[in-house]
Amino acid sequence: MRSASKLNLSRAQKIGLESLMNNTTSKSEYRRVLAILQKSEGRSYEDIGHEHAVNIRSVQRWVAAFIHGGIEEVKIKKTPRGSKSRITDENKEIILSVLFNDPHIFGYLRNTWSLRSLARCLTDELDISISFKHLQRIIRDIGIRCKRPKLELLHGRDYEERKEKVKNYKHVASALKKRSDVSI
Amino acid sequence: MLVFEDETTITQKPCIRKSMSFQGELEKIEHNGSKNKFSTYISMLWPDQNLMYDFYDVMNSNNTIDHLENLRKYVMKIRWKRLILIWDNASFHISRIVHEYIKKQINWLTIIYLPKKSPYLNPNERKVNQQIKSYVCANRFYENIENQKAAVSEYLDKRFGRWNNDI
Repeated sequence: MRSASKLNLSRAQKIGLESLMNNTTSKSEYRRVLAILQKSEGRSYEDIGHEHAVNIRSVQRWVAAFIHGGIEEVKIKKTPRGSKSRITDENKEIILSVLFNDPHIFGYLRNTWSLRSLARCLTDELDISISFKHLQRIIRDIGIRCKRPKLELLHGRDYEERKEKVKNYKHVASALKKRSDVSI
Repeated sequence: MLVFEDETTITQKPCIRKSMSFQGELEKIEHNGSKNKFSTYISMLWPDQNLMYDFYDVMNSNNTIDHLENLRKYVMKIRWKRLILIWDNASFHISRIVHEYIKKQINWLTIIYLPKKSPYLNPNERKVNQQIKSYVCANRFYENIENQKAAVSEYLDKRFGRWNNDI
């Protein structure tokens, strides 16, 4: 019986494959790397294919890809899905600048933007055709959230001086109380 | 002519409404703690939705009569036959002084009182009062109450338009 040919791997290649196997989150990528490592141990294509429940040709293709293109050829290439977004990075910057500007500048009679009014402004005034939902997704991805602002009291000029005075009185309050008790 | 009337109090302290800010950051609106406020008497012509409004310091019977007087001047000038005024049961609408005044204005004025505790029947509440709070007073502190009055006035004029422009 003819023995299966062994795939010779260098130490660096072996470490590279093992690290890919540990870091990958893809089940099929893990399976490919494991098949190549098993081949390097001298196992036959039939045996490996049988273990992973794939065709022998698939295992042969994986090993051949590794031999010709190295570790990069083993990785599963992700193709972008869906149509390309019409909103470019430049448009996103415009959206941000409009969002943090006063709506009055654009002729809107309001102090704060709502997403709907912002989408309307971008479409009508700035020729960036965008729907409310799309704008909502973009804003969320940028990291902007809709929150209640906090009211903060503006202090007068003598605030610190008076605050210090009250603090001092608090310190000596117990002594003052004792003195008044004695006098009574 | 049918007119809906309502009042609202506007404070110098800003109304807080949700706004956009970066995650982890909190927008701060500074104010000086002033408790200044003013009242707006708003009459909305129906169905045109044009407004006639007056600013006063407080809501009381005298100011209500003053607002009705302004309405009367306009009605006399335009020579409308009758004005049907619909308003709620606020204390200064049902007070003795106002009742006596209304009795004298029977030749041009008809008053209809809304049912008790039913603000949803008055379009002024949601169409004007709420909008002023969320569009003009939201998240902005006006240094001066006069500036705030001017902002409210500008908003109402641009958004609804006045029906007493020529007075």
